[in-house]
Amino acid sequence: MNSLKITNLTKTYDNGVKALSNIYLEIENGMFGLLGPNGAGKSTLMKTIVGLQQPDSGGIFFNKENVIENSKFIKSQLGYLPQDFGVYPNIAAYDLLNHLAILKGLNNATTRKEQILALLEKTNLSKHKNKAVSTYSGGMRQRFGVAQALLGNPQIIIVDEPTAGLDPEERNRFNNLLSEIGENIIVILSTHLVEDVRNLCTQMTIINKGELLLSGNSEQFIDKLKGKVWKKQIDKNELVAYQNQYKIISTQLQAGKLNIRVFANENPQNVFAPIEADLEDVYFTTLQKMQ
Amino acid sequence: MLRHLLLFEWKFYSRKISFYLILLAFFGLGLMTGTSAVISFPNITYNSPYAINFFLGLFSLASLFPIVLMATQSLLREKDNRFEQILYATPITIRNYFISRFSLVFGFAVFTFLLFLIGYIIGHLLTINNSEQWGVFHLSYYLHCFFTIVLPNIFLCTVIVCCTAWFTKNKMFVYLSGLGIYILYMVVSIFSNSPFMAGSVPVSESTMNLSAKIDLFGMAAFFEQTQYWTALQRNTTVLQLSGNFLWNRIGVILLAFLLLIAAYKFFKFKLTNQQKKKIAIANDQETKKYVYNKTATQLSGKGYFFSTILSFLKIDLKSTIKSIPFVVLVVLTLFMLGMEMHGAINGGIRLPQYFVTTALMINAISATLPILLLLAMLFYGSELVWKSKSLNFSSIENSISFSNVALFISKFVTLFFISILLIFLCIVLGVLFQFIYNYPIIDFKAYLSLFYYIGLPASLCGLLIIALQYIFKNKYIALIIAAAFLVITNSLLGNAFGFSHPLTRFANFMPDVYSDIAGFSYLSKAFIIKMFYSFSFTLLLSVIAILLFEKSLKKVKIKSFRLLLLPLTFLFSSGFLIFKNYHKASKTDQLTWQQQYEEKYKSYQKKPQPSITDVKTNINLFPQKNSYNVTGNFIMVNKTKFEISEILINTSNEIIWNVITSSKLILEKKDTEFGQYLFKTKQKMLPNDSIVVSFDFEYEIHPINNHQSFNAIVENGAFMRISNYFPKIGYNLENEIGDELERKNRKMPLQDVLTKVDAPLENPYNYEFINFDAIISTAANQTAISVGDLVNSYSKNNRNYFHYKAENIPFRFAVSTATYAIQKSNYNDISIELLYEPKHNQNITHLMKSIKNTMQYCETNFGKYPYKTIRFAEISSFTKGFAATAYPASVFINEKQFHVKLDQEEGLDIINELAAHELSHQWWGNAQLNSDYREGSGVLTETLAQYTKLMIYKKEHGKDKMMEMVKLYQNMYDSEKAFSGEEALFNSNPGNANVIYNKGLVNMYELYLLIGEEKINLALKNLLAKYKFPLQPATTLNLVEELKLVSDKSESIKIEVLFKK
Repeated sequence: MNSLKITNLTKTYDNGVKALSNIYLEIENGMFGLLGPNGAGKSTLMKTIVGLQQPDSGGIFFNKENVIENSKFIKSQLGYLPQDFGVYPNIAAYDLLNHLAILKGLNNATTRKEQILALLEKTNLSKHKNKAVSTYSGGMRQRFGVAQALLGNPQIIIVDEPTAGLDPEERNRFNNLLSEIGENIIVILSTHLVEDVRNLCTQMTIINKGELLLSGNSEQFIDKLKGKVWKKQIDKNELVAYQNQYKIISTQLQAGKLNIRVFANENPQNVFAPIEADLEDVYFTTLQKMQ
Repeated sequence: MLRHLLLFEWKFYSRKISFYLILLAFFGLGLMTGTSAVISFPNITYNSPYAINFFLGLFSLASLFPIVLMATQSLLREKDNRFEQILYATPITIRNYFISRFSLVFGFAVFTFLLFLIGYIIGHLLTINNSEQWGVFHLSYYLHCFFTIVLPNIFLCTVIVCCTAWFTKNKMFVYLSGLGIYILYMVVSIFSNSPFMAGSVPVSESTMNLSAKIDLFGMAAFFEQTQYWTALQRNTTVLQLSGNFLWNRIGVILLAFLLLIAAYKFFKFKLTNQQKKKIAIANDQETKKYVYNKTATQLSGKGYFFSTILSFLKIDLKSTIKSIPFVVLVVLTLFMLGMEMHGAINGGIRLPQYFVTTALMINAISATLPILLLLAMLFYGSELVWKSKSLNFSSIENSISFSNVALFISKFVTLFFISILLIFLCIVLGVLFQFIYNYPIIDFKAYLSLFYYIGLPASLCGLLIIALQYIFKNKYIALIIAAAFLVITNSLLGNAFGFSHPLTRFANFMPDVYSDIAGFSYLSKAFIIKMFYSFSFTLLLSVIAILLFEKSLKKVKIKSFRLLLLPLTFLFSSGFLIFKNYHKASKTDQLTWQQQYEEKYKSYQKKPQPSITDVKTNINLFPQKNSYNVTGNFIMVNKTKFEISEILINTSNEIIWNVITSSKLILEKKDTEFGQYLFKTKQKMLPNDSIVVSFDFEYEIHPINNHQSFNAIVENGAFMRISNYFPKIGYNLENEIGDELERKNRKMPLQDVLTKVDAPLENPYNYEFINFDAIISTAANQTAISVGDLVNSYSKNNRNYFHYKAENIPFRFAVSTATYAIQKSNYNDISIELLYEPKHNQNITHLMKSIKNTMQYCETNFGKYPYKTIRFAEISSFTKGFAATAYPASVFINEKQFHVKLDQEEGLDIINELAAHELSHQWWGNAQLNSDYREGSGVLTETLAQYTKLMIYKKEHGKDKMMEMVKLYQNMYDSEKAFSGEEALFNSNPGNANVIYNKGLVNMYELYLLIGEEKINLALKNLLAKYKFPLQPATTLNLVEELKLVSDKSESIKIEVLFKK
């Protein structure tokens, strides 16, 4: 069983932006969702775990080893798919994977080749393995990203906003791929898409403005909201009035009308209809600190 | 709108340090150029329009640097930062965008140049004084040049570079467009006899005319317009906007505008589509053959370390070499080299084609490739280091814990391979040229040595650049620092600015001095030491760079500084070795030495001293060791009317003196600084008394110090005018500072004026001739050549001995040694010997024939040849300063003039010229017509030799060919007369080569037209009969007199005019 423990992690950038403040997390094998809006500090947290950045204070322990002091320990067991990455021009997928495999320490040529070919199959890229990655489409490129993250013997995989920019079909395919690999190792999925976390992760955390807001089992969070979410369709003009009166979780346009969801222990003034709480409600109520 | 755009740009750049660095660099460069007289032209003032045009024109080329830098930063910024879509969607008009960006690049280039100009002017104003080197300061000279030459140049360069940026949207192409302009310029320079090019040779008028029209920088047009200007004109006249210069300037501006308009018309706000070849998304499920298993990894061990290096190398090399820009770089390199090779093969109008030997190709490569390699190293060095980051691949790579040392090494190895690849391609081109020009004798070993002599310095520069990138962690700052460092320590420019001590030189390439006979000789030894020194320095920087990897200085553990110890030890030990062995005095020190010598010993000039009459010596040559030793003795006789009790013997400081002694002398004082030995005689030396002095000295070339060019004891084809290093008596005039201005600056009195042509001469005149008797030994496989008759030769103890004897020759003798092939023949009872490098046998028959013809002509017309033998010996190009040189019974020819491809149809027959000119010196000069050094004495040797050559040339090749030659010499005279001055022949300075050779030949031709060959020859025969040794020597006045005696009275005035005007 792998474990990642983060304690009191704090990072302030030179320009004064507090990217992480006192983050505390414990993660074990399985898919872990890291949810937060843009600019919440997700990428900073990821980069810090990976060792691309140094925190100001706090600790990160992977399998009890302090990886801030010894980043090599985690790097040697890590697969990382950054939010946005480029590739060398004119280099074929196979060659690039081979390069990264060598860097990761797959020293045996035969087993290295087998693993690369297997990964190319797994990510459906076999046919294009001899084409330059720079000519790949967005989805293929992300799949290549997963393939490279799986090279070697990763005990922890970190993927940062992997489905951003993918069409729904590619996104599905990608998520299937992710769910396949998440057994017996830690997979941290950082995203701002609640749906991805709902589909893939059992454990999750929500961060915003560098602070950890909520951490735990997503089903339990939904349970907690049971009976406390109410909906109503209103006119767009009425929104301001409702905002003053109720705790609005989220709004959604539907054919010109506005559907609002409200957080309340009881049906307020009986003008709302009850509705099943979902993870998105957990997310928004947490962000707005309604609970 | 436009104003806003420009303001925005200013905000962007004003925050960049590199921006200010460039401005500062240009101002500093201007100041340095203005204050230091790096290049000076004789008779031309530093602030003359000519010098200003020269420097500003030359440095307008440097504007390419800011233009290219600005174009990549400013024109491709949107693309780099993926801002294109937003910018192009704004209502900004193409016109505004176009104008603002173009004027920004152009304005910046002009601004930087103005800073250079201001620095240059300030430099001039700071150093200007009343001496003849400076004219009156005219701001208009600078501005005229700026507006006519510089501004159009910058404009065109900016247009070309910007158009490239807009059309390709690729940084590398922008760099290459800059490089392309540079190469184009160099190519035109090669063909237009630009003084910028080393070893420039005169070119034909049509070539000059064409280059004047097409040289984008207008320099060829400048040289064309001013080539026949006098010194006064060059000092006071600005360039006239007329002729080719006008057309060139109009053409350049027009071309620039056309390109600009075309660019404007075709310019669209269009996105760069880098992924044109995007492949279709494949979603069909593939059948699985492999199973994904996690595979154990190992991140340590040597195997892992090396495979990391190899993997990075593969990726970097693949992505570099496959890229189009690299291909373009290769094409440009080969194009420029091809041009250089072509230029090297064609020796210009003065010389016929050279044989396309491996040596010629190697020198062409050594002359061209280093600068291109340096640029490639600078570019790729900084690109490779930041490649992963700029491609945004680093976040993946850096999440893996590979060794930084391996990364560092891999970047270096990539650069190494790039340089090896370029060298390899150049060699292929060289071999190809050898086949095309039908000289397929390929010396592969010599070619391969280029990987060492060019590849090693290039790699060291690459390593330095990478280390600086990692140390400064900022691409552009590191790039600028590396470029500045290399300009100072690696280029000739730094040399000119005073960074010439080998300790201040970094990874200098082997110069283009490869000799077909001697290879690189001792320079390869110097190369090792210098490379080791440079290597230690780069090693030091590399260790620092690796220590600072991802860390700041404070976090580096004190313990790790111990790693610096090894490179520091290397650096100091090799540096100490260089420092200890380098003895070359700086120019100022040398001049001070000369001044002190003169002040200390000038008094001996007038003191009666004995003359050397006999030299008997053993010279042992060790070519493989680059050394020789000499023992012997000389007899000196008191030929004066006075008693002598004090004798000053002066020796050269170049060599090591073991002994100078005599039983009749007591050493009074030994002045090692000036090599002076002051002796007292034990008994007063009465007139006609003689004393024997014995001596013993040795010499070895110390690689770091280079050799004096007449002391080239190299492995093969060595040549030494060894008399220069024999002890001499009395004051040595040659040690005096000859430069009048330098004397003035040092507040020294004027030098003694040259003896007037009509000054009286003691009678009988003391020729100071000697009897020469030398036994010369050399290596077992070599033959030693000296002067006079060979009386004996034998082998002993695995060495060859040659005994030479000559009576009554000037104190001027030489030796050469080489593995010679020998061809013998004879003319009447005179034996002719040709000694040459066995490979250089192509012209032997022709040379033999030319010698016989000359011998016949001279004996028939002037008198008997004075020796039993005449020999012509080839020597290596390590001896510089003459094409051929004549000694009693021996002529030495430099391989560069010897091994040429004679085309009977076209071009001059240089072998015939050399044979005729040099052989005739056995009559004109040497032991026959040997005048004292005075006004016009050069005419009696060189001009007469030129005349003889001309007549023999006529006899061999006909009058048309003779006319060609006359015209050539006329041109050479005209184009050099501004520097040499226009002296009359009869009282010309013997050192004025342009007058005594070029004008001399032309005027002798006029004389030939006037009175005819027969009468001239008769006059010369009479001159010899009356004035040759041991009779009183002749002056030019005697020559004119003899000419008048044999011709009609009506022609007298015209003869006078030819010599006195």
